[in-house]
Amino acid sequence: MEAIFVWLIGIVIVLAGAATVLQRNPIHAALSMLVALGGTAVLMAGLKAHFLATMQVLLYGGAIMVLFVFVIMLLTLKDEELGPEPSLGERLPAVIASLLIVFVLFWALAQRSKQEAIVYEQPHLDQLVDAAEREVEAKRADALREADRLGQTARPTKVPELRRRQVVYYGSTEHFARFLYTDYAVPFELITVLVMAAAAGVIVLARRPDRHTLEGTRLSSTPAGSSGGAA
Amino acid sequence: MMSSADAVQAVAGLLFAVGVFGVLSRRNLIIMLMSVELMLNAANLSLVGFAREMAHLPGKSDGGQAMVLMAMAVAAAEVAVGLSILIALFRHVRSVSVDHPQTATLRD
Repeated sequence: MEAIFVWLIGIVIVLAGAATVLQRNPIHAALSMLVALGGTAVLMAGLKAHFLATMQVLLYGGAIMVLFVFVIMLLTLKDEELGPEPSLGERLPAVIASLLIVFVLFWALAQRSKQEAIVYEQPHLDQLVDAAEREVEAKRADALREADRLGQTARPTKVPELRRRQVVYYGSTEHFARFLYTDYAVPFELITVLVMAAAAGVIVLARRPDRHTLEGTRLSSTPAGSSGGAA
Repeated sequence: MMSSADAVQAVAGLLFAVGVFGVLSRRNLIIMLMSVELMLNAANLSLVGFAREMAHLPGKSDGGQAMVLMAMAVAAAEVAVGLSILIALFRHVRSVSVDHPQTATLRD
């Protein structure tokens, strides 16, 4: 039953994606992509990855789409600047390639339902767990006996436990913080370095080579005037 | 009848194929970048779906979800760099088509 809802939102996502790649006008394509990304966020929320759904809206819907729309508006492309698109016949290899990918992915999906579980016997671990449980039981019995000897009616408060429990909700921000700042702290920090490098790189790349804000730096080695009528 | 977990993977696969088609068939650099974004998005969706299946095992779904967050950050960086390259290219050849004759002869 749940699969029907997944397919409903999935159809919206795939159709919006198809509209993205088929539109000639880039601004129409960008808005179609916004629908596809929003649909993905909904599906992520349905899969209980709430924090990721929020990030999807903020990062894709906010940052990335704004960047696309901003660049499209900045360039204000005329029709001849968009260039010719391939004819239907020239698109045939692309159709075949993507259909092949669909076939392979669906074949892999069909294999998934035939998965076989492999059970590994781990007797050495069994012994360890048994020994630990015996030790805890012995300590508990000792503590109870000690309490009886002292004539206390109250139960001993410090009874060792094998494990302590903590409940967090799946996909919540707390769940994320729990592993992002422990097991994945190094990748997380590396990502910040990457984003910093990208931000610096963008500034260097998008500078106009004929305008020097920094003395003596010339990024484009193309001589001025030979760049084909660049403004 | 497909389970909802399989349906998620199917949707992700279809979205990925749509992205592949976009990259292969379009000649507009902006749309090609958008298609790459769609493919990244499909991979993210697939990872979230697999992580959901592992949700009942403590700690098993962490890697998938962490990877999605990393992929989103990488996607943001990639789009920023890609679009700035696009702007630099547009200044040179006054076109965003990868088939433009001047794009093919670009040096340096």
